[in-house]
Amino acid sequence: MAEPLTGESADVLRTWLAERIAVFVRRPAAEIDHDVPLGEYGLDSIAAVGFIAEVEDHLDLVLDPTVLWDHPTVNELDAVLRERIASASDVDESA
Amino acid sequence: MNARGRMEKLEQSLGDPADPGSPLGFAAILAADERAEMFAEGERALDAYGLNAEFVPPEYGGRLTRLDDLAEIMQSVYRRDPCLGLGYGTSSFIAAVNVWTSADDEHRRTVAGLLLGNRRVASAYHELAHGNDMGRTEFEAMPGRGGLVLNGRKEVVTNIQRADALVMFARTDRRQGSRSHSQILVEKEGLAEGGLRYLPRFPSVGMRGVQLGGVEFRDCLIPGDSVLGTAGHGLEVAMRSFQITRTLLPAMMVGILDTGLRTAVGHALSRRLYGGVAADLPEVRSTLVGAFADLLACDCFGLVCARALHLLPRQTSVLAAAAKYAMSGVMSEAMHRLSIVLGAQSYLREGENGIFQKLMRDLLPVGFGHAARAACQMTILPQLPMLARRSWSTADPAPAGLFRQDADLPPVPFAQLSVTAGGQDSLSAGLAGVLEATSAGADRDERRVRDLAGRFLAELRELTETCADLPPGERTFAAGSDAYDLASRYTAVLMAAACLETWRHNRDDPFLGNPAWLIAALGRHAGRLDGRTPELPEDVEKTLYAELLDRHEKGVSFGLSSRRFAGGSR
Repeated sequence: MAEPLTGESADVLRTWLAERIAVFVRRPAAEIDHDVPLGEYGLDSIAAVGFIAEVEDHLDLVLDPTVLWDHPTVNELDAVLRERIASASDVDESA
Repeated sequence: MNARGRMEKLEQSLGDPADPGSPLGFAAILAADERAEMFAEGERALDAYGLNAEFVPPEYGGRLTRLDDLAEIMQSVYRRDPCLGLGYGTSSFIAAVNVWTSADDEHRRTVAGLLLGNRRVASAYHELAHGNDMGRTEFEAMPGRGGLVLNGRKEVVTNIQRADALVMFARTDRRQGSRSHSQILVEKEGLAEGGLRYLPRFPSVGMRGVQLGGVEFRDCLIPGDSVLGTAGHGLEVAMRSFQITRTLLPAMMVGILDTGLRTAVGHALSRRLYGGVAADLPEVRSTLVGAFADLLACDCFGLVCARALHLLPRQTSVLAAAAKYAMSGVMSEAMHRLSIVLGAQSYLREGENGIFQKLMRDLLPVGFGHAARAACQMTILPQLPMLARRSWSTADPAPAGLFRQDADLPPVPFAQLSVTAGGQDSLSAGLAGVLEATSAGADRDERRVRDLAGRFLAELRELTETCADLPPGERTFAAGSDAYDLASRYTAVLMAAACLETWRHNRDDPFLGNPAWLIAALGRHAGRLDGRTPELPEDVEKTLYAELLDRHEKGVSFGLSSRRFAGGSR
């Protein structure tokens, strides 16, 4: 389901996040600054619910929409999602 | 005393409201409403009963153990005077639920102490400029001068002036985002002179006695430890705690429809017309039976969703919004149809039926108070694709306890309520369960139940197809009407599932086990979904009409539990 997230494709997740956000806020992805809180692009708490659901399906993770409230930029979200992916695969291996 | 005992005690202490000589009856309630005052005698009676204790968990000295019981207890207040329901009761309850959801032990003790001492705590969220758009809240509580400094206004808030304390929704961080607000507890005693000013009362169409006011704070210093729970988590706390109140408020307001129907039945039985009484006319009977069936469906959905808060707390973000949306729509329509039976009597402000026009006005906020119907749709809409993909074809049915009044329920799990349902829905899974539990070769009534279950299951299948790939633009507040409609249709499916499962799990009950009520409730419900006027089978209508007259005669509630009310028929 998820793309591999190491080496050359390290930016794949970040790019995907920005592209999906762009769809939700109806702007070109190039306009989404990765360090600007997404609320400033109009991604409100309602849109956040739909967006986080897409992230869950894409990465096969269980997330709470509040993850976006606590990590409101593309870069912050990218970082926390990588941690979650790493810890989820640890659990898979130990299972 | 158990909950049934408390309901009985409250009914007895408030007496028969239709008794013209009762100091707590409709005549006195109407007189207070005409003066746009809270009903003082009624407030004293509720003080004596200790109603506020019903809002406080037992570990803090109160009696809040089951939300389904609380809904029924409050129906006894709402069926008499909705102004008492809101202005004495739910205003403090909404504030308290915020505290139980997020606050530390000390704040909980403070608020429990106020409530158990018959004081009021107001819930101050609303700002006229922003309505349900809480993220735009401007009222602020910023660190400064060794504490928190309050600035800004709150408007159209129940009891804001007479409450001893306020739970206020405030901006605590000037940055945009969803971690910039907090609930703060403002105790009025000890506030600096001149720090706050009350705004004039807001006159209203209904709930005229309720003191809707406003407040403006200017550089008002409060202690730094006034934030409830974690600073910045206010939006999350609101989204979680409101699941309890969005479910409970309409469930309590079923009491309004009960009196509306009781008044209409009384009128139809006494009104002489064409050589008989109005109740002899088939159309009048159909209207009365229809309202009875609608009331049962609402009561059923409300009680099931109230139990879901105990048993399925991770799913109630959707269920609470569905309960508020579906019940408010069905009850408002039912009340309107009853007004047609009453005719001019629904328009008179005094006399035997004078209470009806007040109740009709007082019911209106069920559609916009606390959360507007559109806001409820908007809670559900972004969750539809997850629900479609993760649950609607695959989920396990809900536990039987969700549907039984005698089920053991754990304490209210405030900490487990979640911002979204994460795509989980065990209630609609019951539709397939009912199909399995019934057989096509069974008796006529069981076949009817089976057909109705099939109708709503087909609706769920259609929704699954449409919603699984709902485009992002159709999952935000900018969505088109078709998308909003999907949310409404889903609430109809959930309400149907609640009724069907309640029947399936109570087949030992003399009333609930007889499918007549279910066939009537869902027949009407399916008619609404298909946009046609539903006609009920003649035998079903006859059974329910007999039940309606019997309950009216004996002074028994029209709701699911058929409990005895104070006073007999009118």
